[in-house]
Amino acid sequence: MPAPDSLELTALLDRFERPLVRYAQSITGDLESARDVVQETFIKLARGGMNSSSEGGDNARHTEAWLFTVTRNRALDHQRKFSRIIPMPITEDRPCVAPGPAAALEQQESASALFRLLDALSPNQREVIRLKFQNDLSYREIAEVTSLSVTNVGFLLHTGLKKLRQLLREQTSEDFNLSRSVL
Amino acid sequence: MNADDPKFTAHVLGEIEDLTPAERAEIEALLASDSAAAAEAAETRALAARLRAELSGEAAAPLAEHQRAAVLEAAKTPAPASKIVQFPRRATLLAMLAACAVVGISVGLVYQSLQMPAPVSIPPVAAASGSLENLHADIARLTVAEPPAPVQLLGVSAPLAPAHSDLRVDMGTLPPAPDIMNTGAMMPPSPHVGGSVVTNPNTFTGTTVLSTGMISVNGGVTTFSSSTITTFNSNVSLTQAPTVSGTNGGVTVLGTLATADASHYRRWENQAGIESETAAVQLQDRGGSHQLPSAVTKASPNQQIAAFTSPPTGGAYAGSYSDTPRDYLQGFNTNAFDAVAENGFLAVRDNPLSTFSADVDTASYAIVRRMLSSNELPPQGAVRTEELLNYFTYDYPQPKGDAPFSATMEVATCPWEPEHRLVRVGLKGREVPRDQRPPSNLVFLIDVSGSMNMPNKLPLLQQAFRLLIEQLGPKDRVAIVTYAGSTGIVLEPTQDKEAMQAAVDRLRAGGSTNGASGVQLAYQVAERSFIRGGTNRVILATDGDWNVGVTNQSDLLGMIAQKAKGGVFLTVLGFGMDNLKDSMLVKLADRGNGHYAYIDTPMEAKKVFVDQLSGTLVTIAKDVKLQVEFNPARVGAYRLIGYEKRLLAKEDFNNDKKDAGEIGAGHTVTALYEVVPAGKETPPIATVDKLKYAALAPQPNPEPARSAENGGPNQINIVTTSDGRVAVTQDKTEADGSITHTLARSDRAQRVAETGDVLLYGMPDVTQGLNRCVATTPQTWMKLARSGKVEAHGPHRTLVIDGAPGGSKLAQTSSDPMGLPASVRNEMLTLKLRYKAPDGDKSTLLEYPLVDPGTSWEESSRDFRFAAAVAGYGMLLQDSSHRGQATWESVAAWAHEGLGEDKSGYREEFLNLVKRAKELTR
Repeated sequence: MPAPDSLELTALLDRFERPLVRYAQSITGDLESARDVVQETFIKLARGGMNSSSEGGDNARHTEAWLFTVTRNRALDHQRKFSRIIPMPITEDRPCVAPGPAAALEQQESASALFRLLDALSPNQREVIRLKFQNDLSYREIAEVTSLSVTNVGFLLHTGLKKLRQLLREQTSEDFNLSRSVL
Repeated sequence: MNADDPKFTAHVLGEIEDLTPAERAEIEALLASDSAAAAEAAETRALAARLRAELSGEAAAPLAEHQRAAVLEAAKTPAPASKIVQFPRRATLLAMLAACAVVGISVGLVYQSLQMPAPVSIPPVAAASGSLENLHADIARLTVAEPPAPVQLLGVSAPLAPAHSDLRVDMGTLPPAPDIMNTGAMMPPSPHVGGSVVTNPNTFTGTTVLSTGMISVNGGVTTFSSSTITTFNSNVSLTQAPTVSGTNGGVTVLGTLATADASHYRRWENQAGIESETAAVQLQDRGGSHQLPSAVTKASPNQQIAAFTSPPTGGAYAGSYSDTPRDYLQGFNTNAFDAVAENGFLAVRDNPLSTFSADVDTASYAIVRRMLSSNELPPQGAVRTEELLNYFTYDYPQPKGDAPFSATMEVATCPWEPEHRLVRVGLKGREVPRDQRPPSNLVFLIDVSGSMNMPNKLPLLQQAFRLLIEQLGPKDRVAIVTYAGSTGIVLEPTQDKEAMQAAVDRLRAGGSTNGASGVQLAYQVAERSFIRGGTNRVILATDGDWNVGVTNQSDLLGMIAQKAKGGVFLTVLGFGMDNLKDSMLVKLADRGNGHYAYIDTPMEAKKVFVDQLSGTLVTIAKDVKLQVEFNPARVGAYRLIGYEKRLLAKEDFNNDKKDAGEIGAGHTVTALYEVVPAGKETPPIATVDKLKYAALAPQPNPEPARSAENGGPNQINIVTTSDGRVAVTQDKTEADGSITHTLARSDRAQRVAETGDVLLYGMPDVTQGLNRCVATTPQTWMKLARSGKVEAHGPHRTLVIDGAPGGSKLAQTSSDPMGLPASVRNEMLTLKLRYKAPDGDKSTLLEYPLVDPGTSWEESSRDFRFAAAVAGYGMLLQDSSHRGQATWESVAAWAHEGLGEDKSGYREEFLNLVKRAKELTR
């Protein structure tokens, strides 16, 4: 893909800025670094960076994978530079319109339950699960983004999901909120 | 192959492209034969759906506005040869430090008793000039130090100029980088915070680390909140609901406070508008009604910010108040036109639209002039500021192309309230040269009742009509109808100018008036000699004294409106001052698609009948309506100056049945808005009581966050996510075994029992594969069908990123707030105009956006200054509460600055009137 024009760029920003910032934030741990990383990624794209570094293939899916790849690499670079940083939870973008404190607490509980479980996985597993289920990338795209083999991605997802299911089964009996929320 | 094979999982997830046909067959056989494996698959699918839903609820912030802008900017500039090292940054260390102070200032609060375990030190930084926007610094230089090293904040002194937008910091005195710890936060200043706040130099002395919990408020301010909170220093995190207790108590800050590591910097960018509404902190007022205390927006000029005092126990918090977003989300109400007297300020969030009818009447100016020249101050009701403004012609450009008029806007500092902006909207009707004027069929309807027998009435009237007759061409026809005790045709339609002059000369006053029968007769005559494609107009000259016969106003007005539809328009000329029925004449002209002028002097007669004859006779556009939509990100409140009697309901703008004002050839229409920029202190705004029944309005019931155990193929799942919205997911298995994922986010979702389709309400946003459909209004709803089809009802925006090989296609229609290009977000307002051709039934829409370039008063145009002076004159005559710093002296000064060429001497005369008014009010 050659350097996108501003309409394309606006469309790509609209479509991907939030998922990319969220993804970068899962690596850097803080929103501002994540935004910087994503800004750099888009600027690279805007300047035709995809042209020079891409390995071929020029469809939109590829653009998406490219954006995630660059975001990931830059976020990891950033992390290496600031490796001593302890990430903080940032809730800046959460809407304020919350229900009463009790309801909010309850909601928090059930939502964070799954996130707690995710914490039990390895960083690798967490990352592929994010890419797969939060960003809807295919195995191949995840492989491209993470520089892992497709087989490796399949293995990480398989073991990650298996572990989550096991944890969920253990939790379900003790945590009513969890079963409440889905399916 | 068994269920514990990654390939099995891949198949369940629809990842079939890397499976061989043999593997696929084997897995499908396993699923069909082995119920345990099938159960595993179902469990994995359920988990996948849940992950999709829950993970979608995780906060996903967009880029900061300036970052987006930088990206789009990068697309315009060609790529540099070297790799990108730096990106535009507006706020860096110093900005943050200062911003931290500034935010504190803007709120005027200091929070103490936060503990900071390790000392933080920052070498003194002198503050000087340069706006916040211009704070560029190399962030890399500023983020170097090794983390565990103690950091000291020695003393940042920052004399801060008014308000956060004018933060001044000098980058020149930066000490060597490694000593500096980058900290600080810039809160998104709420649009409702601000005002002119000036502080003393503030001193930051050493600090330590935040620990937990209690924040106490210095001073008796009730509420405080910040969406983000700044901390300095080591790896200490402060999380979970700290309590803010103030002297007025009862405030809880929920949310998470974030700390920055010593080696790390953190910025909170200023994101006006939407972003600041979604701040992370929620305010709860235990004590009932929740008000934005004025103390928050108006800090005293000498408020001392005693940040970071007394190590090791001191810590300072500064924050900006985010107005309750709840109010924001309840939508706009439409209470825009209940002003009876002078228009007051309206909040943009409640009334984003200002709608009014064009008006070219000028009578009020002449009436006021007449009164002032007889040493009388006009009653407030006689002062219609729009008529004062429109009395003058301004140098607006001629329309281009086919449009009958041009529209121009100018914005600059409001001279009587320098914190405010003054927006001038100007329309200019196409000039029609005299020789191109279509033939006219004029009927003079002249009041010759006894009350007209005064020097400033009938004789002046005769003089006026003689002037008019002189201007007429050979194709123009005139008839004269008089009305008094009896009504009669004095002159049958003729093109003979001498006959016209003679008939005018013969007019004598006497008897009483039955205006209504005269009006009927005049229209009959006009219709009899109707000129198709020409000007057909009754020109009524009266002192407005209707004292004989059954003058049923509404019947008369109805008749005039009907005749106007038939193509005969009405111009009204008022004479005399003793019993002028001003309000009636305004209405007559309004209904008759004409304009109302008051003739007090031969000069004025010349203006109406000679200088502006084309405008008086030739209507170039009718039912001209203006609607201004203000951008809440830029404008907090506004006030339309004048046009009180021309206000329309916002729905009337698009209603072609709704009558509005006409514009004649060469006429100019000028309207002024006094605008309070977002973030500035808003003048008192009339409010209504809270709605009693609002909560009872029918709303679609959301489906409980639970769904059937086994819903069959392509089941749609609904989950409530942690942000309080719902996530709706569907995994649709396609014919080839691949799976199409659909994820929808909305405020509410409702399942249709019969079909299993799901209806989405409250800003739905549906992503299906790479394609996305986003609602752009709160009314928009969408349907996700079991078949996987997405239907949108109401305004929405679709974003298609077609993954077809051979290139990406991007299509975008309309926009959602976040997706709006920065250029649109920067707009102050959009002016919309509707008009009809003089003989047309359908209106045409024109739109003009306006960006405020920050023009100062000194940079404004002459016409702008003169119009401001006229508005000031109107406000002083009305004794307006909005007159601010306007005095007779300042009005005269502004008018003098705006005098310009003044060929006709009207502006010079205005200066005399100002002088006269000043003497009379003394």
